[in-house]
Amino acid sequence: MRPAFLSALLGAILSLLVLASLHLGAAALDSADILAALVGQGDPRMVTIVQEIRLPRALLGILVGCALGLSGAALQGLLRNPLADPGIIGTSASAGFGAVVALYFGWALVFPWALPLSAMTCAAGGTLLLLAVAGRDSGTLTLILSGIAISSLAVALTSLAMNLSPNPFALSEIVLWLLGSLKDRSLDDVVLSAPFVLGGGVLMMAAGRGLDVLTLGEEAAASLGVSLRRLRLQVVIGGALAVGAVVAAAGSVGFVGLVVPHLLRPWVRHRPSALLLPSALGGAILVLAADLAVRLIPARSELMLGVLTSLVGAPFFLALILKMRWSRS
Amino acid sequence: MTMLETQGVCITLGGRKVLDNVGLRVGGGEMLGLLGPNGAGKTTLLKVLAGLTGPARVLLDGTDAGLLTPSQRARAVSYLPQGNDVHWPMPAIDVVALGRHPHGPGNARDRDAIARALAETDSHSVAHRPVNTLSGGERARVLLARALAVEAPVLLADEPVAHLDPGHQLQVLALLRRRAEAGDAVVVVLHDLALAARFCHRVLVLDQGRVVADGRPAATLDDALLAGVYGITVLRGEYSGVPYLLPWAAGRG
Repeated sequence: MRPAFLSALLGAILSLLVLASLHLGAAALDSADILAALVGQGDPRMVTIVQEIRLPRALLGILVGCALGLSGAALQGLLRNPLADPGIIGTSASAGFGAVVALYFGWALVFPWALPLSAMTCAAGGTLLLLAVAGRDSGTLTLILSGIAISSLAVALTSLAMNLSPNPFALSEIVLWLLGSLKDRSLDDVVLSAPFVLGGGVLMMAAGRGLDVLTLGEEAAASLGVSLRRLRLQVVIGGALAVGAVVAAAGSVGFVGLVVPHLLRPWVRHRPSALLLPSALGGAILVLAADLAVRLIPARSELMLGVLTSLVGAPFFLALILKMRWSRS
Repeated sequence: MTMLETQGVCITLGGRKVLDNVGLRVGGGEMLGLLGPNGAGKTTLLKVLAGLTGPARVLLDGTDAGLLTPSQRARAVSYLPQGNDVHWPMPAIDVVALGRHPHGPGNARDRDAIARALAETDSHSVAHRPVNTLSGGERARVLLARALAVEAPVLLADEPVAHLDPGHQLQVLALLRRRAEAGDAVVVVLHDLALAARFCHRVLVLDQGRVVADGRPAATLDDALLAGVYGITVLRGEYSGVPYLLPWAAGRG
C-alpha cells in the first residue's frame, strides 16, 4: 500500500473517531448541536460541554497519540529495534519525573510552562542516558535492560518526591495524574503542549531519509553522507519535546509507541521514513479509541487511559518478544 | 580519471597501532587489491579512504576530501562495508535505492541507476523479495548493487565476495574489474590470493599495520612474501597464458 493512501485512510478513521469523541458522553448531543456549539451558537450548556470538555479531550487525545506513535516509530528507526518505545526505554518515566518535580516544587503554579519544560528536559536526559548506556547498535536485551534501569531510576526518584510530599492531597493528585488520562483537561493544556508536539514532530519527520539509510548500519549510512550526530540529536530532542509535552499534559500513556509502528510497518514495506506519518495518525487513532473505551466501559469510577493502554499493550509486548524468540529459533 | 591518495596514515586503536605510516595511491582505471592476514589493518585503511576513520588526509583528484560536504564526498566515493546487515526486512530494490541518497530526493536518474546496479549484480530476480528471505549470497549481491547504485567514480569494497559461491565470486570480481576498466578506481579487500592475483591490476599487502609490498600481483606475491606475511606455501601454474597461484600448506616448508 502506498504510504500516502495509508495516511489518507488513517486520517479518515481518525476523523470518524473525533466525531465519535465529540458525540459520546453523559449528555447526548446530536451533530447539529455539536456543530452549533463548536462555533459558539445554541444552548450555552452545550457550548460549554463541547468547547470546554469534549473538544479539548479529543484534541489532546490527537496530540498524545501523534506524539507517542511518531516517537515510537522514530526511536525504533534510530535504534533499529522494534522494541524501542518511549515508555519501554524510559523516556516517558523520565518525563513523568520531570513533571512531578515541577509540581512538587510548585514551579508549575508560578510559571505554567515549567511543567512541560521540566518534563521535556528530563525526557531528553533519559534518552541520552539510554544512548550512552546501551550504545547505538545495541541488541534487544541490552536496550530493554538499559530502558528498565533508566525507567526504574526515574520511577524511584518520582516515588521519593511523592514519599517526601508534605501534602496528602497533592500526593493523591500526582498519583492519579501519573496513571494517564485525558479527563478534565482544558484547551490551555492543548495550547501548552501543541507547539512542542509540533516542533518535535517536525524534527522527527525531517529525520526520515536518514533513518532509511541507517537501515544499512552506521558505517554505510555515514559513507552515504548521513550525519549520524545530527540524526541522533533530531530524534532524541524531537522525541523528548513531543513525549515530554504530552506526559506533562496527560500523564503516562504507555505502549502506544510500541504497538502502532509494529502494526503499520508491513504496510509501508518496512521503510522507516514511510512509517512516521502513519504512526502519528495511528497513535492518535489508538489513543482516541482507548479514550472512548474508558468512557464507555461501565465501572464505579472511570478507568484511567494509561491503565487501559498498559492492559492492552503489555500482553502485546510479551507476544512480540515471544514472536522474535520463535523467529530466531 | 579520478585519483585517490593518502600518505603517512597512523591510526592507533585501544593502544595498538593499527596503521603505521601507510600510504596509498589509486587511480581511475585501476583495481587495487588490499591483502594481508587478519588484523593487518585492511579494513581500517578502507575506512580511512572512505572518511570514516581518522585523523588522515585523503586527497581526491588532488583536493582534500575533508573539505567536501558529506554528500559531495558520498557521491565521489562509494563504500561497501563488511557484513550483510540490513536492519529491516525491506524489499531488495528499496535497499539498492538507498545508494541514491547522496544524490538527493527524487533524482530523475535514480530509476536507471538502480536498474543498472541490479542487472550488473544479477539481482533482478530477487528485486522485490524482502532481504530477510534472501540467502547470504543473494543478500551480498544486493548490498553490492546498493554500493554500485551510488555511481561514484571511486568504489571501496570490504570483502565483497566473502559470502558468495565460486560462480558468483568470479562474477562479482569480473564486474569490479569491468568497472575499473571503464574508468573507476576500485579498492577491494580480499583474502583469496588466487582471486586477487587473477583480477587485480595491483595489490598492496599490509602486515601489522605496515605496507610490506605494493605492485603487480605476479611480481609482488612471491614465495618469500607469502611465507613471511601469511606463513604459507603456494602452488603456481599458468592457464591460457595467465599465471595463477593456489595456497597449499601452512608453514614455511
